Amino acid sequence: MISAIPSPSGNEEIIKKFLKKLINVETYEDSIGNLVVHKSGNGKKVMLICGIDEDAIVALSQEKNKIYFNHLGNKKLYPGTLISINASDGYICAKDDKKPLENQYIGMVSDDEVTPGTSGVIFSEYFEDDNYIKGSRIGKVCVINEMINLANNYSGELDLYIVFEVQSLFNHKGALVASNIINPEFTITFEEIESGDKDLLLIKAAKGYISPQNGESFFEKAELKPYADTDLEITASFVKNSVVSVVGVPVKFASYPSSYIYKEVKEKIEKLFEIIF
Amino acid sequence: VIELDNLLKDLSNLSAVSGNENLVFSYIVNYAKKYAEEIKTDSMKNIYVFRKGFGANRKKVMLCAHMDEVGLIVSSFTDEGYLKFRVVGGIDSSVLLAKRVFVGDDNVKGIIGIKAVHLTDKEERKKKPSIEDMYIDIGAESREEAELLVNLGDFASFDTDTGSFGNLLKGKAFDDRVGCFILCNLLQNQYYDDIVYCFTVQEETGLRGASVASYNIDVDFCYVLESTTCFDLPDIGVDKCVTRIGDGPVLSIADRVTYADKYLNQRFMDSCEKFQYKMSGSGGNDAGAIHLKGIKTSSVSIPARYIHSPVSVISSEDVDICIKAFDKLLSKGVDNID
Repeated sequence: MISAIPSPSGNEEIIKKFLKKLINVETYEDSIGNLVVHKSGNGKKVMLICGIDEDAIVALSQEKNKIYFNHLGNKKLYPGTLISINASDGYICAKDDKKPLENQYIGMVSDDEVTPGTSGVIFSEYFEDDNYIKGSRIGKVCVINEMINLANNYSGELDLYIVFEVQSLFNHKGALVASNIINPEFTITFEEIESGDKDLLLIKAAKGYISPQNGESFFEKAELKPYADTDLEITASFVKNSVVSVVGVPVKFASYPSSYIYKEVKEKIEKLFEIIF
Repeated sequence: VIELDNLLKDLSNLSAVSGNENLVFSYIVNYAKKYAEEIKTDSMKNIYVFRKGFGANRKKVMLCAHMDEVGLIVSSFTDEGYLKFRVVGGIDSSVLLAKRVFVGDDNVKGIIGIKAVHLTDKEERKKKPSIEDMYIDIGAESREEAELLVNLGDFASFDTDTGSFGNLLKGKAFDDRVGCFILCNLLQNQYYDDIVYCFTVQEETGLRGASVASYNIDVDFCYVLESTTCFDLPDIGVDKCVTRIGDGPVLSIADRVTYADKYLNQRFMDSCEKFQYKMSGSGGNDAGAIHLKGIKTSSVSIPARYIHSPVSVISSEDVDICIKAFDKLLSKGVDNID
């Protein structure tokens, strides 16, 4: 369900409204718009954070049914990619067929006026069968579901901040602001990783405090070390003992309009949350 | 021909290449002390001018503009008395040839030169001139003579007189002396909110002053006053011109480093008779550092042609509209919605 809600990076209002309905405890928004649940406790201050946004197509100017745009995110925009903007459809077009990734615009089906700043998303249909789940930012959606459960049910010792991060695809702006305000002792975050794997979650972790003050990327600065293990107990132990942990969720076609995960990956995410928290 | 404000002329003519903002620093401190309740500075030489508000539910608002400009720095001398240099900030090498500069605190006059076109071969002519091949000619006849006039590490700024032509203004450092000018105009008044007018250093070399300033000042909201790119020239399509001179102040949607706060954008729009959006996601300014502190931040810019070159061009009408809009907004209070 969450996968079907448009959540362009920088314009996450709709999904936040939806998340607030699913979260039964008090929430607040920080200055950049992260949606935060604080589960107060006497233990370590831990920030659990995951991006709720997806690639954004931001309209900048318009010539009849041509919209010139800015793209925030990592997905590849090939001509023919279907874009949904302002509840209307359009397709990525290129001025020069020989350079399909340059000088692009959106050819809209209608020529209704689109206000500059309006955000669109790449169209991606939700689909599920016995093996796979397909949809927009589907790896993160599985994590977000677990974060909602945790927000509603956690009663442990940790001083836990559960952060539904905005602008994660814009150089992790939401994470930079959240870590600045919360100043956590430990941070656990998730990112989608292009991989056909289903047996394990890739783990990166950093020992040492990451200061976002210099404005550098949350992850680049961390000197992350790849780590992987098929035993979730070991993985969870590693996460618990690292100052910053980045849990990679293996996603097929992560940089294409529609991405897939194995159902087993979803189950492993649920299990990992169970062990850690 | 329109009349040029003396304050803007003074500000734009002063030399303040990133890292050496002393002249603009002194000018602004001297100007602001007539109006400020308090002025503070920090180790970077950012300036904070404080004015208390009159509102019952007032908030803390920061208005920010950077004092520095792009320029050059002397990196070595040749035996013949020429100066080799590096650029400070983003300058395209093709705008430098045959331009006049002032070098060092004594304003030694210089001309930027390169091997004459007559001496270049076909391949060389196809290439963009390289900074490494250029030099500053200060009229010295030997290394010793040049070293008497200039020190290694001296900054050089463009020798461009600020003035008006047609309906427009030209000057070397409208980026961002025009932002400083707007702040200097506004700080004459008392407004609803408590306002910190923050004049930052070293924006052109990585938002360094603003990075420090955002940790020194605790505010609720911030507007960054800037100048921005404008390519409203013949044969430039609507998707490439970014902004247009005369179409009013510019609101950013998202640039390379910041997604502008929508609430602050809306509050400015509500107070502004004419505005335009920046039709590009490139570039970036002090907002990129400030919003990371957890301060809601937006940018309002004046469109400027030929930015980061020896001369840029703006419209005084855009500047007037911007000042009036902020005057209206700040009189009501940024977060005071009736």
